[in-house]
Amino acid sequence: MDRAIVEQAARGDRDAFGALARVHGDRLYAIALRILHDTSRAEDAVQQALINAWRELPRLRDADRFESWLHRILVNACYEESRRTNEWTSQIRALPIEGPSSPDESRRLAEQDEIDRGFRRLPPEQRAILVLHHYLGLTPIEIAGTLGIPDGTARSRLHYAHRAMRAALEAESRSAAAAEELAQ
Amino acid sequence: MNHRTAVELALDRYLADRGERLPDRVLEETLTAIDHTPQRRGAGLPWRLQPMSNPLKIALAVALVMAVVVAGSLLLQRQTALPVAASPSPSTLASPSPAASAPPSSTPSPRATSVPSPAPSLPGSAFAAGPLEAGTYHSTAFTPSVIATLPGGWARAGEDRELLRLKRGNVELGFAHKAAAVAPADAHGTNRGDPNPPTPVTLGAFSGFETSTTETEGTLYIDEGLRAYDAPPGTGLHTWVLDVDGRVLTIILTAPMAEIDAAVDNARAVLETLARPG
Repeated sequence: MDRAIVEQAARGDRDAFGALARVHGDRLYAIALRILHDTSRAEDAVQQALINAWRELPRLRDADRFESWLHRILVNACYEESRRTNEWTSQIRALPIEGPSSPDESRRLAEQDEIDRGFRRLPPEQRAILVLHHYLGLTPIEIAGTLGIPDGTARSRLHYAHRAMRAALEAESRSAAAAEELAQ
Repeated sequence: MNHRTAVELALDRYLADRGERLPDRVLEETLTAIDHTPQRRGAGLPWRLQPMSNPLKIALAVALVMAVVVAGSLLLQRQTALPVAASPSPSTLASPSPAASAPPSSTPSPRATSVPSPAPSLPGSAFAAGPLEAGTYHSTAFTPSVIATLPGGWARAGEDRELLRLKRGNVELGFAHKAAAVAPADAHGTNRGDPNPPTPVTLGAFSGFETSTTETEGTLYIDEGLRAYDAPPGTGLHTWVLDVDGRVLTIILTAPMAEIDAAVDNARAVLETLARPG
């Protein structure tokens, strides 16, 4: 379905591009939000990515690869957005109003909090590759195609991102244990 | 066998789809910007999906280096031929706007379109993205509007309906709304890290209270209005909660501990200029 609309948009049809933006906007936003961890920066990245996509669309050779191409543009926009604001040392984010309803829920939230803090320690390049793999479900070969890197590079980046995440989680556990010791 | 480690499984859960939706406002602003954005046609390399082979990369890199060397030597020859180089104009150097140094473009910046036109009754200029000159500013997306007078050195790092963020060096000042009555216990009771007792304060046209704390670990709850603050260990935090005509404005300052006292003083000087719209 996308192919005909992509070709129309590539010929300069703004309505066709608007339709594409509506179809893909939520997914792009979800990806940017996971990489950048900030709603307004994610909005800016999506906006920039869509404008870049519109501008460059006539040069896309294969309309069937539009989505993959769009994801690459978005990831680059996220890198740019991240560089633009990388002096930020903290973030405000939304949490559920009500507290955990059960010990299981409490444990789940604690795990979520720990992995969240670990994820934030990673550079944007590693976050992006983890998002492409764990959120979009892309294989290393598909990631390579999306990011325009060799397959081996995608595989090793994913491996290092997992390793970095494990290290970040261990660092989080150590600092939590140290804080508990101090509290006793 | 597809064996997934505990970390991979945790990442699957953490990054799972939650049905996020791109705000309509962003889509509309983007499409408006696209109305004024021409497409690039013809020139340049088309986007390729296949990664380049290493020999091709090396050949391109060599060609690029040679082109740079040739261009550089031509430029040097030209400079030696010119007796005096033109100095940059002072007006360009004095302008803090990033747009001043950017090359001219017919394409509107998406961020420029994300700031709605200022309402005529609001004093000063809208907080535009990036560095801000000294002056009076008002928020646009974030309403009721925050109106404040800033010295130089601040930048707007983000603004939406929920949050206005200003930044100066390592210091961050966030403005958020809280949909409940002003009560010291709201902030004091939900902050972690044993904050100092809240004290009453009047800033500009508004009154409320302030409190400070140091983030030790985990997520720091600022209030029950969906906003939580997450900062690296050792970050100094100072919070003001103001009653803005029945609506609660929470202002959160973060800075490295070594800078927190000066940051609070500087932020207080800004907050003392807070004014009512109209």
